Amino acid sequence: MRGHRPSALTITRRTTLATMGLVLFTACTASSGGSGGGADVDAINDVTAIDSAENLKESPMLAERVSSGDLPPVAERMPVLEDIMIEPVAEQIGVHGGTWNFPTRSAQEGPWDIGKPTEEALFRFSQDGDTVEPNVAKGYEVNDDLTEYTITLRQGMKWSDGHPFTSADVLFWWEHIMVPELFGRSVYDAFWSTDPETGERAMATFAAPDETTVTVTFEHPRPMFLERVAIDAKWLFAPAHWMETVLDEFIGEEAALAIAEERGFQDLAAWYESACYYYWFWSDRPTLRAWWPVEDAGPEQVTWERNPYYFKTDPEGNQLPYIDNLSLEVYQDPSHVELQTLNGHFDISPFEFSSFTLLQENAAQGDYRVLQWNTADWYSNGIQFNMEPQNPQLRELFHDARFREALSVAVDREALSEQLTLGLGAPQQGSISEGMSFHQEGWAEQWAEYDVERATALLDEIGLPLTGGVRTFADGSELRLEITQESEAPQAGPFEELLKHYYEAIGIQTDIQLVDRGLYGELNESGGLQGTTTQGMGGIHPMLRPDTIVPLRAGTPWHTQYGTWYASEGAEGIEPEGDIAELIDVYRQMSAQLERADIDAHAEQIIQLHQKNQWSIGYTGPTPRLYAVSNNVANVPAEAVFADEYRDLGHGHPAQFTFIDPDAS
Amino acid sequence: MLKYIFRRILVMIPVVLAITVIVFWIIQLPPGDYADTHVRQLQAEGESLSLADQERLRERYGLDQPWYQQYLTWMWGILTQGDLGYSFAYNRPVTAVIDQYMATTLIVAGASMLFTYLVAIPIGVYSAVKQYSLGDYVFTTIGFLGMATPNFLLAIILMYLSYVWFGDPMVGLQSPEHAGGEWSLARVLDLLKHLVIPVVVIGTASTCELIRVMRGQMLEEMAKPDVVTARAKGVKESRILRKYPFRAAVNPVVSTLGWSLTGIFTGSTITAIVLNLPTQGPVMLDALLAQDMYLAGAWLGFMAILTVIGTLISDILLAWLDPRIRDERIARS
Repeated sequence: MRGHRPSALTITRRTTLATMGLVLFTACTASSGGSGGGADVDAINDVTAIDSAENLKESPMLAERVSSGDLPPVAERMPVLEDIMIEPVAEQIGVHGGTWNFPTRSAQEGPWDIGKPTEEALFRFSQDGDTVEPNVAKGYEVNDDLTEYTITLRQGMKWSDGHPFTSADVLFWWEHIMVPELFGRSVYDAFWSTDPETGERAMATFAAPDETTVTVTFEHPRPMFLERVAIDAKWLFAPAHWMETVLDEFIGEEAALAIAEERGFQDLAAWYESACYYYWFWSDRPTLRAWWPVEDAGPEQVTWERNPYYFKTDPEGNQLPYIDNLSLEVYQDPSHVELQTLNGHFDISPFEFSSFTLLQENAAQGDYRVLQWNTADWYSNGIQFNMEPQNPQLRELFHDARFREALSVAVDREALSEQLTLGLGAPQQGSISEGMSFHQEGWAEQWAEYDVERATALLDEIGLPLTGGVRTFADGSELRLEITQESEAPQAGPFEELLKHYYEAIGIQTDIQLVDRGLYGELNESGGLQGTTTQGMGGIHPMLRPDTIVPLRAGTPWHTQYGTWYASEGAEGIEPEGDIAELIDVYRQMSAQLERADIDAHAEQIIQLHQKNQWSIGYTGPTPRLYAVSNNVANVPAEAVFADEYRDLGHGHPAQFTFIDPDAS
Repeated sequence: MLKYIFRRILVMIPVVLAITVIVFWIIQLPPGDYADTHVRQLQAEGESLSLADQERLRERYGLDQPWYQQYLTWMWGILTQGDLGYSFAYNRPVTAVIDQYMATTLIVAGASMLFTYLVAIPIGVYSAVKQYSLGDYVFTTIGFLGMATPNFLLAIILMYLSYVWFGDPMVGLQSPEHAGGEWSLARVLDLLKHLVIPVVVIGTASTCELIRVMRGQMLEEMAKPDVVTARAKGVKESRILRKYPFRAAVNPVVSTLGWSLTGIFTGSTITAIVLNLPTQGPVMLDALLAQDMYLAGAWLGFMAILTVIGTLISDILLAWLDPRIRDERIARS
């Protein structure tokens, strides 16, 4: 028997958090974590620790395997009592059992469909999104100048094959997977600290003083290390005992290649990306997740089974997950998910907003409810202008705030809101929603009034002569604006047509171009776009996800040339000027701050620059992401923020999702 | 005859090679490459690759080389090792991807071809023999309806009816509880159940054409002197039909059989997407859209070969079926 102590120390999840301190987000977010139950649930969740091993209960499915001698008893499978993680439930204590019918794209097309909801990160974002909290890790400490982080792991925790999970697994990931860049990604931002004097970057060093402790040391202060880890390097660990049987470093290149080929890969790079990054599809690779596949990914359907060694219980000591099996069913077109959801087949299905009416109309018949999760987007329908288009006259226009204002007020947002979003996306400017961090008073109303006269006056003022209802450049040359959209985008077309209608009403001739994804990517990266309605703006915090807001690398249409310039350190792209250069400056200063309050103050400045310049124009406010949830399923938070940083549905903690009647699932 | 076949095969080689060059050139023609698509896909999932990582990706896939060099490397692999190349999107060899979808594709295609012939040929014969009868009109009307209705629409209608009547839209080829399981009677029945809609949808598309061809040919052949003579000599009507006009009438059907080989693989792409069938069509479409060059190239090359082989098979079958053609060709060669 492993040493779980008779008189369990009651270290709770909550006290661990409290001792950690460092509350991250000062401003609060809209939804309070979304547990719908109120006081009753709080009472259920008010449990500090599991007092005795006898209180641990397991799924009947596993109990059978224990009595037949297949598995050790539950107490031996889980971490020592005081290190077991108690997952609060969202609504009620659940029941073990049932199969969750889970729609997914194929493993190649949508690896994250199942990847995100089942992810177990070392640290994860808390329910309100304000902080990170330990998940796989038990806790951490950090020294005052933010150069040394000490991460504590859970004693007695095990991989899904029963092998102990220790600091060696973390160290292994760092030394043998991340640093050699085995899965085709450079060493993540999280692991670099920047010299405040010279701007030079230095890589972190890892050490494991004992089985449950990992220290990460930086040369220079590294603020927000754990948040970056929660985003960049969610799983900072790998099953060393398994990896050692497949990596060429341990078994020689020939044997490793043979394994790669046996699994259908041609070279080690592709195989390692699959084994170390998209690793969750391999049935033989040990995992810490709540479920793991019983067979490798196939073309149609794969069953995932509960992990008998999972490290969490509910407040009553029932080992999680509640749900025994996942049935992953591959679809080719989202309409199949709609159909099978209306039919009551899928238990939880994610949808884009465009399915809203259909889902609501059939909710009673399909016996499901529709949950609306807010996003951190700035708008649901909007346009970005590539600030460095190839045409120099257009460039001048795009940089003229009056032109952007004219195109903003020329559009009837009320009408768009009704036509495109059923009124759910508010008729407002692209801005940060009320209740989210860094919300700015008055931003939503900026340039949001439908005012054709104002638009006309502005364009006249710029000096774009109007002849026969069509405007030209001042020198009489033709003025045409091209709006590009990806043809695969849901609802591609109607919004662009409406924009064209409104723009042409004030004399701006507009062409719409629907292109496939590859061409769009190419146009965007090469700076060949003019205006585009593809890709949004947003993110939970400019420090954590600066991509769309600050030009740090290529990819976001409005700043892609500047992003290229920054990422290539001036070798390619175009150097920004004025307020856009200012964005980068403020971002640099922000990265050097040690205090949370200072970081937030800089972030606020970045946001205010956006408010002032309105580089992207939003026409309708953000619309929610939808989940159709069977009425036989409980504990799915009714409200939460849907964000990649929070791992989408994973933010609802699927391990505690439960069937009300598992037999009817 | 053998010499004739051999010569035909020799001519096929440069034809197929030329087709693959054109195909490969066209696939890489649109701006952007697979790496662009892949990066966009990652962005949509909230991931991002640095420029250096993107370059590494291109290098790994060989996308940094000019297209003719990529083509030559690819061709060399095919000719020397029978290696069809590597699918970027699937991260697996092309053969493995094709393999994965081959069985289901053959099942669907085979069943719908069988359906077409079993329905069309008897009806064609019947409407010729009973020309202008009520049955002739009814079948012809249904046939034309089948041809005029777009496949995907018919698929949606049938799915809807199935949903309303049986409570199951019959999406896919297997119910989830059977997919990936052991083969059993229940699983086969489940498969057959799911095959009904695709077979009817894909089958009816070509049924009408076949009915009309059969009917026209039969009518023409039935007026021929050999038939009249046989009838005058008192041969049984059914025997006359089977021995003379029918044999001649299936002639054009057989000669187009070869072309339908390619239809097996891509003829039903839209239907397959609508019905969520795990067949080759949608895989091929995605490969083309994403510029997954070797997968798409292998596909199109494969189809080219099938078309060429199909033509050859048709010619051989025709020669076997129709002595006049055989003699003429043997005389020529």
